Amino acid sequence: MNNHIIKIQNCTVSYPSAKNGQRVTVLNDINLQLQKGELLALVGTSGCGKSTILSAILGSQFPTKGAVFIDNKEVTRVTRDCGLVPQNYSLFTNNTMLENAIAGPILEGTSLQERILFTPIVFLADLFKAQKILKLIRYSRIRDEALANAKEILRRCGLDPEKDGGKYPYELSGGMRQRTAIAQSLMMRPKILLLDEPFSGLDEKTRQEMLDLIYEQWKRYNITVVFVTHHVHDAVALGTRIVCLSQHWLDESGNPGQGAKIVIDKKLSGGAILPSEFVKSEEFTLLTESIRSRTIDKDNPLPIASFELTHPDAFKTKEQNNAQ
Amino acid sequence: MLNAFRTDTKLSSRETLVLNVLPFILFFAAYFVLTYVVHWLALPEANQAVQWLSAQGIDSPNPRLLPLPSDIWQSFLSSLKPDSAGHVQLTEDVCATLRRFTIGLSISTLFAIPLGLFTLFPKWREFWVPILGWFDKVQALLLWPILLLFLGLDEAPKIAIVIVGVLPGIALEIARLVELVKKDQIYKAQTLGATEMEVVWHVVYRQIFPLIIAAIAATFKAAWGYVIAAEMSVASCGIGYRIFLAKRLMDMPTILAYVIVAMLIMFAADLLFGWWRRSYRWANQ
Repeated sequence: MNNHIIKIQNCTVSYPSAKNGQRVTVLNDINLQLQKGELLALVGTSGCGKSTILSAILGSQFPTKGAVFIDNKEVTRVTRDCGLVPQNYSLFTNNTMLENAIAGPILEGTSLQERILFTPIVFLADLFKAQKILKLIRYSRIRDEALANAKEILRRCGLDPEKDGGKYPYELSGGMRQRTAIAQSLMMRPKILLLDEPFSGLDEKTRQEMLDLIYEQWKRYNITVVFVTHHVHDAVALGTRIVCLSQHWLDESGNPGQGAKIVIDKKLSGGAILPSEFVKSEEFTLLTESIRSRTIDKDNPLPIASFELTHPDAFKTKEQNNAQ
Repeated sequence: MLNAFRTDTKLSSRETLVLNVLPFILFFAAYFVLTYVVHWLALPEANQAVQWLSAQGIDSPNPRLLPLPSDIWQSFLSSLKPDSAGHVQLTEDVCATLRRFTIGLSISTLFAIPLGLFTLFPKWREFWVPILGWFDKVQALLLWPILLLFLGLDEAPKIAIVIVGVLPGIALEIARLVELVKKDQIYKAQTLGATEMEVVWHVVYRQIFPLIIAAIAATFKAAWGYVIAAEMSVASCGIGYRIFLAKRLMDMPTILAYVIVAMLIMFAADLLFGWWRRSYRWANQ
């Protein structure tokens, strides 16, 4: 049919209001196609429907009208196609960093009965260092293989599995938890990585490190990333494409519309660190101001219009900028 | 004194210990003083004091109702002595009550855990939560005659009353805990390849397990109460039966000795379960 990995087709999401029972439209006839390997930054103010789009792609929220397709298959439930790094830390609190990282391969490679039966046996065999027994148990072999793989991926995500692998999520810093959550998703090599405001609550330095990390992992694994944020700077820095959602827009006849619509859809270079010349340029100011005015200023809704970006640095890759 | 009502007071471990132990010392001291006064009033040399109390319209208290601590201790020791058949009364009574309590609570837990966990699924939740909520409001002791009629006079009704009394409560508490599990964690597990049952086991059950322990511990008092009340009604041994028998004989030292033993068992069970729950250090954060 086409080479779009994600296709959102005439997607409208509405639900009955708790106040008066009338239907509230969250998303209004959204159409969006993503090609494999794109890094889409989805921006907009809080409550404008960014996370709803993410949920529709994930399969945890069904559109009232329209449909979402991944690889031309309609999304009807949460599947392994997507990896998820939510806003709030989603690590399993009862598992250590390493156990969290191997959760995917263990869940995928072994059955529930196998885990319930062999977990105590493997625990005892581990305790008494009975290598021969461990090699005989399939669950143990899968676990060891996953552990080796997880250590490698955790290291790539800037973590030290030897030092911190045995720590529980409550013993890790916010940045370490989010890195672990990303590593946990990457272990499964998903087709699409969904990041729902993954930097909220992180300090500025960690935030920049996380931007770099996502950029590097996106390059390494060549996966499609949908990254939700309300920080325009992060979106412009990281995305190869920026999509702005706003609930404040005018329709063709000049009347204010209902629900969120895509008001800006622009291709960018993507590169985790914005070149300083670009940040200082009028172009960047114009872009960020345009995004802000279209997403935040509810008193002055604007017609949906395309926004042309012409500054040369905005289209250079991070490597090209670094080379300069 | 004003410091007692400050929220920011920092207590040393010594102060904490003193404050924890002080109410016990005061309670037992008050009991000792009261019993010795009552027993003194029963002596011939306290005649004047008794007459004065009568003049004030106060009856002299019956010393049998407030036994001396030494009498309670003697009663405790005598209940530990084997009878002619070699049976130790206290041990047999405690074992019988503990057996009924443990079986009843285990069966309740065994059924309540899956019932509560499966409320993760909306259809299951809508089917079970209202009926469990309704049964939770029914006082189990009201059903005692019905249980006797259906199950006879043997062990079954004494176990059944615990099940009827605590199962809905445990299941509803687990259902409440299930609601606290973040939806994002469930979606995350599904993106990692977990099936519905694996979500229940891997994400929900294992994460709320320490809280399930706390939920079970919270029902100890009720379950213990149901068993003892049932034993007072129909039994041939058990703590409740012995207390009921001692009451008919006005044997207050035995009643109090058994009350203290029953209290200590509950205290130990609570400590044990508290220690078990705290052993999951990730859950204490």
